[in-house]
Parts: sequence; structure tokens; C-alpha cells
Amino acid sequence: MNFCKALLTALISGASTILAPSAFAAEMSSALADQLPDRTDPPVNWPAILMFLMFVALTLAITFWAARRTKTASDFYTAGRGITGLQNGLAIAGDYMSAASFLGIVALVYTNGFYGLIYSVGWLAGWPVMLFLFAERLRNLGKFTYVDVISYRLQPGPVRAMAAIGSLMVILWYLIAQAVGAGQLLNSLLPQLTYWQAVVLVGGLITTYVTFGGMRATTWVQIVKAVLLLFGASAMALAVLIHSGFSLERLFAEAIAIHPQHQAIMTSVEPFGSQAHPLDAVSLGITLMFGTIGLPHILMRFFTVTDAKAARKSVLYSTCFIGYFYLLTFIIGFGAIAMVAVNPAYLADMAGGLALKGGNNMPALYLADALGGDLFFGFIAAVAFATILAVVSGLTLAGASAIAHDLYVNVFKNGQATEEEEVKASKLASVALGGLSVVLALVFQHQNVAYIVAVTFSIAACSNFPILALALFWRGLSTRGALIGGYAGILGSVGLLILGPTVWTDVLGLGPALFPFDYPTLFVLPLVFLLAWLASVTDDSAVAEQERAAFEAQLIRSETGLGAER
Amino acid sequence: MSQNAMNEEIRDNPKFRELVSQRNRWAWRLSLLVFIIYFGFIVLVAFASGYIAQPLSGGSVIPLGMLLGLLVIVFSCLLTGLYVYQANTEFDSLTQQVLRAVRK
Repeated sequence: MNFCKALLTALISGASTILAPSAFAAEMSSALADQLPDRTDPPVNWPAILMFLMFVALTLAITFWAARRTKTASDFYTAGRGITGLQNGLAIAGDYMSAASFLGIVALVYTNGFYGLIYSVGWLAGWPVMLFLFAERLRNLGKFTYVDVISYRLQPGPVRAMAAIGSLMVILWYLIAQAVGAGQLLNSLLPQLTYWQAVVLVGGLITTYVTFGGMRATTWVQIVKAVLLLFGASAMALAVLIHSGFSLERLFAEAIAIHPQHQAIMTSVEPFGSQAHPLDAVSLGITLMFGTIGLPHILMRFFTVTDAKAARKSVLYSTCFIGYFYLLTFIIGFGAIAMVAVNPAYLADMAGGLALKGGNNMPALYLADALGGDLFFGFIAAVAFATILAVVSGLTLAGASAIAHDLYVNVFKNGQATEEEEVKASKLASVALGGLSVVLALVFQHQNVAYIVAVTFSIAACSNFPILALALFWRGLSTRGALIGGYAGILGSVGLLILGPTVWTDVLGLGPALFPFDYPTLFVLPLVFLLAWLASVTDDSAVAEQERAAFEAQLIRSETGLGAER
Repeated sequence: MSQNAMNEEIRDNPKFRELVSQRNRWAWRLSLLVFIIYFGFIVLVAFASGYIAQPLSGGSVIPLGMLLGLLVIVFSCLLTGLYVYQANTEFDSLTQQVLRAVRK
């Protein structure tokens, strides 16, 4: 019963830090560690466990506080629409800067150098466009989900069903990526926990946050996490810069000398060893930019602020925080080449190469260890873990809103449900999603986290984004156009991902891929626009006429905020 | 006033048309600028990897592409700031004028 023992010692030592001065706590914990010797297991990292427990205690306290203020559906989905621009900016950053982008981009830079920067740039480039064209309009038109906005003047039943399916596809894949990352992380942090125990622990925590604390708890967990992550990444980048005497030239020169690919890491536009087509980079670029604008858990955050002005400010803050963070990950990635790849203690293969013990998502954590020992490693591991909890909470809440608000209340019950029923349905949905994410994390344990995130962005960019854009900006869109375009986007992106090289060849082992590109967006997105346009202009039904006529009222509300939810 | 009557009054208010055309002009032009900057970078990465691989200066190990990538990130933040400044000073006051006219 390693699990019970680890948890027990962790809990006791956590309690002792709260109750006793820290020196005493440290003594207690080392005494406990001595009492529970484990011959085969690696040593227990007490600083990491303590910081992790402190974070868990803090977030549970937030959840307790939030639960007492969460009564109505608006409390549950939007935190009562009382979040300020700065708070929401931090929460968006906390929701968006996932463990995949922290551990993942650092790992990408560590193995592929410059190629990692393309992801950083792409993950940021959608944000200005989100501000210019979407944020304020979403706040003015929507109630709880972006699906409210799409179905504002279209036939609510069928359109909501389609958009909710698109949302859930994105959310489930994103959940897999985060839960797998969390399992791997906790597993390497606390080797006494097995992967599945770690995953169950994560699932239990996020289900608690979301079910009891709703959007209020989720928002504050995300804010705390964003501050911790920005602080942790800044400290790491600073330590790397101190190491290289504040000279990027020196840092890069050192990395070039150490990395097996040498000079090529400064200019690699594709992963080493792959034979990517130039169009792959273009398709990746489109996927990252427009995928950002189709992420349901991010779009949902715009309904939590008081008005369109706060929505606008929140994007300014989040863009700057996220941009700053990506600049740091780039420095951290090169720092990892310079300081992790030279230390045999971290390397999986004594003969050299870059492969690390504990898997390919570890460079950021080992760099923390190299820079500041156990204490800093513990802090960064706890931060990475907090990151996953915050992102998964946001996803679970968005998934619950798609199931309860869009599908249950507005499709199956035709909008005829009491507020109490809606809140109850969303809490049940959160519990179900928490359980499902545990199962998915177990099934997909060995998948590459960064790739799963890319899958998510592909579906978001091919179905959620184009239909939202057309609904907002094109008077001519009819229900038929939205349905045909939306389903074509979902089926096209998922289908071509399955036929593409990663799934068809690497995962399923079925030989050469039937579709040669990893990212289908370049082909599917224009097709979706074309089909939605064609199906709308040929739709001369009376209903389509009414939908076009209703565009004016939508325009007035989206521009002025008159009649927007308070 | 009913919602329909308010909508009709807003639609016929020249201030509303000014608001829509001004904000859209800004929003679409800035978006276009972001598309050009970002996809310009992506196209260079995809089709001109040799060009962006050249070092910044004679003795430097830093290639042009890296500087361009960092500039895309910095420009994205600056453009968001520009839009928010413009919206806070211009668009909000127009919106208030339009709303005050129907709420009187």
C-alpha cells in the first residue's frame, strides 16, 4: 500500500507545517521519511510535496468560499458576472497557459530548438484578433456559452446540438492532454504514487472545485495559478540569464555546442528527423491562430466580466501575460539544453543524446533542479501541477455547460427547465466529466501531450471558429449553412487527423498515411466556409429569411450592449 | 420604449452608424495587419527557411528568424494596446451617446 503510505506521510507533514514552525515541520518530515524507509523507491521530494499540499489547501479553501456564494446558474457559469478586467485577464492567461504549453514548449525547444518558437508565436497570434473582432461582441450577445451566440438568431435546437458537439470534442481531447500530463508529472514527483493513483487524485480535486465552487472557484484557482506560473517562469529565466551572464549570444552558443544537432537548432523549421512539407508549417500556423478563437473554455471566460469594456481590457492583459510567458519559455528551453543535457543524472541513456529519464516532458523540471536543487524543483513541479488543475477545472466547467446548458436545457428540454434543474444538471455533468477524464487519461497514458493539444486546436479551428465568425459577421448565414458547415468541420478535421501520419502510421500502425499532412486545417477550414456559404445562399426557406432579418437586432446588441446579460 | 422601437431608433441614429463604421474600420484593419505580420512570418518559415537562417550580424549566432518571431509576439501586444486605447477613448463615448439617446 505505497499509495496510502505516501499520502499519509504527505498529509501529516502538510498538517505539521500549518500547525508548527517550519523548522519543526522539516524535522518531522525527515523523521517520518526515516520511519518509513523504502529501499527501492527514489527519495521523497519533501519540498515539492509540501508546496503541492499548500496549493491544494489554498484551492480547497477558495472552493469552500466560492461554494457558499454559488446559488444561481449565473453564479455557477459566470461567477455572477462580477469579475474585473485584470482578474479575467489573469484567469484567461491561467486558463490558456496549459501544462502542455509550459512543459511542452520547453520540451519542444529542448529537442528541436527554433521550431518551438513557431508554436509560441502561433499560440499568441490569435489573441489580437480575438480582441479586435470577438471579445466585446461575445460579451454583449452571450449568456453562458459561445453556443448562445451562434444560436442567437438561428434555430436553437439543431444549431446548439451541433455546436455543443464541436465544443465537447475539443474539451474531451484537451482533457486527455492535461490529464495525461498531470499523471506523468505527479508520477515523477511522487514516485510512490502509481500513474493511475495520480490520475484519480487529479480527477477528484478538479471535480471538487468545479462541482462545489463553479466559475468562482475556477476563476480564482486560475488566477492563483497564473501568478505562480508567471513568477516561477520568471525566476527560472532569470536564473538561466544569470548563468549565461545576461548574454543570449552566450546562452545560444553554449546550447549549440551541447545539442547533438549543433548549429541546426537555431534554424530548424520542422522537428528533427521529420520530412515535413512546407505546407505543414502553414497549416500549423492557421491551426494555432484560429484554434485559439474556437476554444470553448476560453470563450466562456468573456461572460464572467461586468461588461464589454472589461472583456476588452481582459484580452489586453491576457495577451501581454501570455506573450511574456512565451518569451520566457524560449529562454528556459535553451537553458535546458545548456544545463540539463550535460548532466548524466538526468539522461536516460548514458551514451549521450537528449532523451531524459521520466519522459519527454521533463526538461523544464530538470532545469529547475539544476538551477536551484530540490527546493526549486519542488516549487516548479507544484506550479506545473497547479497549472494542470486550473486548466482542467476550466475545461470541466466548459464541458459541463455544453452538456447541461446547451444540450440538456436548450435542446432536450426546449429551454423549459428551472434554474435549480440547470445547476443540478451541470453539477452532475461535472462529476461525469471528471470521471471520464480519469478513464481517458488511463487509456491515452503514452500519448505525446503536445500532439493531443494540436488535435484539439485543429477541431476548434475547423468547426467552432468558422461558424462563430459567420454567425457574427455574415447576415446571410442560415441554420442550414451553419449545420452543414459545422458538421463538415467536425467530421473533416477528425477524419483527416485519423488518416494523417501521426494516427494512421504511428498510433494505428497501418502503413503510409492516406492524408500526408499532420494538420488538416489548411484544407478543411476553407471547405467549411465554402459549404456554409453555399448551403446558406441556396436556402430560400421562410425561416432563413427571418434569420437574415434578425441580423440587424443582433448587430445592434453586439455593437452597443443594449439588452446584454447583466 | 419597446425593444423593437429602441432598435429602430438606434438603427436610424447617425451616431450608431458612425460607431459601427469606425469600430469596424479599426478592427478589420488591425486584424489585417496581424494576419500580414503573422502569416508573413509563417510563410518565411515554410518557404524561405534559408533566408531566415542568416545570422543577424557577422559574428552572431542569432538568426534573423528568431528575431522576427520575437517581434511578432511584441507587436501583437502593442496592437492590442492600441485598440484598447482607441476603444476606451473613442468607441465608448460614441456608444454612450447612442444609448443615452434611446434611454432618455
